[in-house]
Amino acid sequence: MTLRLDIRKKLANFTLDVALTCPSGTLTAIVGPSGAGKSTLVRILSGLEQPDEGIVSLGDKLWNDTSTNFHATPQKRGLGLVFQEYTLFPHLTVRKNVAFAAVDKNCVQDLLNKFGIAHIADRKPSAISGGERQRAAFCQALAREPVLLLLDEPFSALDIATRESLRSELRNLKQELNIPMIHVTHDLEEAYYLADSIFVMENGKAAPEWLERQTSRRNISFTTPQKLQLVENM
Amino acid sequence: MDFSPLIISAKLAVATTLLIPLVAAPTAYILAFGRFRGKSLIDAVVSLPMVLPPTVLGFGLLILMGPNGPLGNLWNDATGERMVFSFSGILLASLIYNLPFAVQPMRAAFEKLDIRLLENSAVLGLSASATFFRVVLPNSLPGLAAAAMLVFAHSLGEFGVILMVGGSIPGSTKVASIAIYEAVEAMRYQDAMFMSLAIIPVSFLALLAINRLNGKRQ
Repeated sequence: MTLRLDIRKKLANFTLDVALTCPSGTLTAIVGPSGAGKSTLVRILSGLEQPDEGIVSLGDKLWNDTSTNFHATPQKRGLGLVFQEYTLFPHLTVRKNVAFAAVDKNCVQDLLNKFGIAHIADRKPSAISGGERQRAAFCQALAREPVLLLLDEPFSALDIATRESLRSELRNLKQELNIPMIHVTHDLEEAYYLADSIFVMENGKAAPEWLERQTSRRNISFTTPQKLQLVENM
Repeated sequence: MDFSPLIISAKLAVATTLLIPLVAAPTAYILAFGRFRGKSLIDAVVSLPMVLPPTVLGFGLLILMGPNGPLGNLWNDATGERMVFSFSGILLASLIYNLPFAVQPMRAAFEKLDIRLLENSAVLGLSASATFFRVVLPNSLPGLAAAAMLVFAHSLGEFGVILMVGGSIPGSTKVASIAIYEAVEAMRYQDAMFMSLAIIPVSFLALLAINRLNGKRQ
C-alpha cells in the first residue's frame, strides 16, 4: 500500500502545498525549518485537520477528497501517531495506556517486552522517564496495528543517548512493519539515518535547496544510504 | 421543633448534586471543546441564573411550571400531578438555578485538559462520547468534585427561587432557609438559631473541600 497525498491548505503566512508518496515498508522523513508547516501536514494526514484542496489516500482507500468534500475522520483511518511530546493518558498505567486501543490485547505484553518497558508497566506516566514515556507512546501506537505510522518529532525532547537508542530501534522496526512511515524531524542526521526518502519543506513547499544550504553552511557530511532520494513536489 | 425543613433541604441538595451532572457535564463539554456558531448564546443562557435575581428566575419558572405553562402541562399529562408547589417542582427549579454553578467549574476543568490527549484518543479510534468517558472524565475528577460540592452548598441555601416555585408547604417544599425566615418573622429565634447552626458547618465543610480540590487541580 502506498500513501499518496497532494494537498493545499492556506496557513497564516503561506500556503501549504505538498505532493508526495510513501510506499509500504519505507520511511519518508519530512525536514525543514520550524514553522515550515510540517506538523500541519501530519495533522492533515491523521485527519485532525482538513486540507482546503486535494487528495490523501492510502492504497485504494481515500482519506480526503476535497472535490467530493469527503474527509475520513481520524477514528476511521486506523493509523498510529506518536506526537512530539508525551500524550500518554495520565490516569492510566503504562500497560493500560498500551492496551487502550490495542486490537489484540495479548500483544500488549509482547510490545512492552520488545520496547524494554515491561518492568515499569504498572506505573503511571508521571512516574517514569521521558525516554520510557516515548517508548510507551510507540507501544500504544503500534498496539493499534496501524496501517500507517506518523511520527511528529518523537525524539526531540529526549537526551542524546536515549534518542540514539530509540532511533536505532525505530530503524529495526521499519524492517518489521510493512507499512508506510512518515517521520517529521528537524534533525538532519536523524533523517539521513532513518529515511528512504527525504522531503524538505520550507514555507509549506518542497525546498530541496534548503537541505543543501544547511549541509554546506554547517560543513557537515552525513552518511547517506544508497537508496536515499530527495523528494520534490510531484 | 420541626426538623422536616432540614431534611427537605438535605434531600434537595443531594438530589440536585446527583442529577445535575447529567445536564451540566455535556453542556460544559460542548462549551469547552465545541466550535460552532451561537456558542456564546448558549453560554449566556446557561449563565443567566447566576446573574438574575432569584425572584425573577422563580417567577419565570412559576409561569412555565404552572398549570397553564408548557412544563406544568407536560408534567401533569405524564404524572397527573401539578408541578408547582411540589418537591419535583423545586427540584427542577434547583437544577436550573444551579446549572451555571456546575457548568462553570466543569468547563474550567475540561479546558485545562491537554487537547492533544483528546486528539490522541481520536487517532486511536475512540468516538467523541467514548473519549468523554474514558479520557475527559477521569482526568477532570477534582474539577467535577469541586463542582458537585459547590452545587451541594449552593442548593442547601436556596431561598428565593424555591419560595416562588414551591411556596412554603410544610413537609413538602418548606426548605431550611424558608423555615429560618419564617421563624425569625414569628420571633422564634431559638428555632432560627438551631437551623442556622445546622447549616453553617455543612456549608463550611463543603467550601473547605472545594478549596482542597481546587488546590489539587493546580
